[in-house]
This record gives sequence, C-alpha cells and structure tokens, in this order.
Amino acid sequence: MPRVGSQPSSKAWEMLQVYRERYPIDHLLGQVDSLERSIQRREARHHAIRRRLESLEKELSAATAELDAVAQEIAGSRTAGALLIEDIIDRVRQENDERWSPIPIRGFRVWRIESEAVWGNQLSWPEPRLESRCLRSVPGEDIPHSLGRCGPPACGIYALKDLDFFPAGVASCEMRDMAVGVVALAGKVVEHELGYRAQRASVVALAIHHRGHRVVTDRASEIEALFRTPASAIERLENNDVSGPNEARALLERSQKEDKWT
Amino acid sequence: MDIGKELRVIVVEEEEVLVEPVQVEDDRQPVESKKD
Repeated sequence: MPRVGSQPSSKAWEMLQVYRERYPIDHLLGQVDSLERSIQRREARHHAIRRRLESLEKELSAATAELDAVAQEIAGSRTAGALLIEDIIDRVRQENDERWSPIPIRGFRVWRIESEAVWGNQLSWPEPRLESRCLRSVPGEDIPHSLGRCGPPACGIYALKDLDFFPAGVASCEMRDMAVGVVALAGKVVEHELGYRAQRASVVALAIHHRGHRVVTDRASEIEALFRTPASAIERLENNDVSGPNEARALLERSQKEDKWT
Repeated sequence: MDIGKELRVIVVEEEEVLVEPVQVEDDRQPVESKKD
C-alpha cells in the first residue's frame, strides 16, 4: 500500500475521509482540522476575490468599449471640424483675394556695398538669400505680418515690381557702391501696389557698380561669390564690355519676367 | 521704401519637380537586308 505522503495532496484529503470512517482517529487530527479550517477561510476569500475580478473584467470590457466609442466620436468631430475649417479658410481666402503660386514671384531690390559686405536696408546679406524675421514676433508667427500687424515699416524682405519705381539712376545701375538685383520671393508674400514684402528671398540676377568696376550676371555661382566676398569677386568678375547701363537694365528686366505664374 | 497700399497675400509653395528616367523599349524589328 502506498504511503499517504506520496499521494497528491487532493488524494490525501480523500483518503482522510475514508480512514475517518474506518478507524477512530479524531484524536490524531488536531493539526489537520486546524489546517482544514484555515483552508476553508482561504477558499472563501479566494471565491470573493474571483467574484471581484470577474466584476472588474466586466467593468474593464465596458470601459474599453466606451473608450473606443468616444475615440470614434472624437475622430468624427475632427473630420467634421476639418471640413468646416477648410470651408471657412476658402471663404476667407476669397474675401481677401489671397493667391497661390507654385513658382517664386520676382521683384527688384537694391543693396549697398560696404567694404567686404553687401547690405540691405538694415541687415547685411552674407549670402544671396535671406529669411525674414520680425522684431515684434514670437517664433512660429505668420511672417511677414500683414494687415498692419506690425510696423511701420512692416516686416519682410522688400522688392519692387518695376525698376522705374526706384529713384533715378538706380535702375540703370549708375549709382556707385550699389547693387541692383532681381530676387525670387517665396513663402508668404504680401503684395502691395508698387512691390512686395516676402518671407524668403533669393537673388537670381545682379548688377553691381563698385569702385569703378561693373559686374552684371545671372549666374548662380557668380552671384554667390559676389555676396560672400564682394570686393574681390567684383574685381575678378568685372565685365565692363557687357555691363553698361542698358545691358544691366535689360538683363534685370529679362530675369524678372522669367518664370511668371499667371 | 514706400511700396504703397497692401493688396493681397500670395502664398508661394515651391514644388519639387521630380524627373524620373523613362525607359523606352525599342520594339523595332530588325530590317533584313536584301541581297540582290
């Protein structure tokens, strides 16, 4: 006969019932009875915990379903809001005559040449491109400001629509130590009667008259050199034979008319 | 620089032009030379 201790625990408890009926052994079972009562208390607790867990699982399942439903409602509201916003923005664009262009707008502007730097009205241009910023703005604002939200003068990179809008002598590049050029304007561009204020500008043609040297070019590499090291680049690139006042004006006007989006 | 009254906003969104190489199959048949 196998020893009780070698049986699985459930088998031992079954055999206890058998032996209780078979022999008077209650006097031997004090510890076993105590253990049995402890087991019964724990079984009751185990049952209560299981009921609680089932209840929580039901609650979790209901909350998950509610979460999905609310997420769908949010997505639906966002979609409806986006359509509404698109309609409003379309209407605002039409009412304010806002336009769109896939290619830059070209305008004229001037710089002054001082020693080894090219200067705009307030800032030096160390390279032939510039991104505008407003002294009154916080990062992320819609630059340049429009509808009088800053200034005067309002912010942005300025350019004129026509060379004749400049003072006499500028258009033909006759003024010393000055450069006249064509800039391609991109990003937000605010159109005015005579010119533009832009978010970004890059120089696409340039006529310089500095210390008796003249350079007229629309080559990107030459424009880059003229902005980075103007004095030495002007001497190196001087092309007096093709850079008279008429040629300068003709090249700038031709460059300004390129890539028009109408 | 006085540039006159503000007229409108123009949004310039430069689009990159992607030019993909196009491979054209040559389906011409070889011409047999006629020998007289």
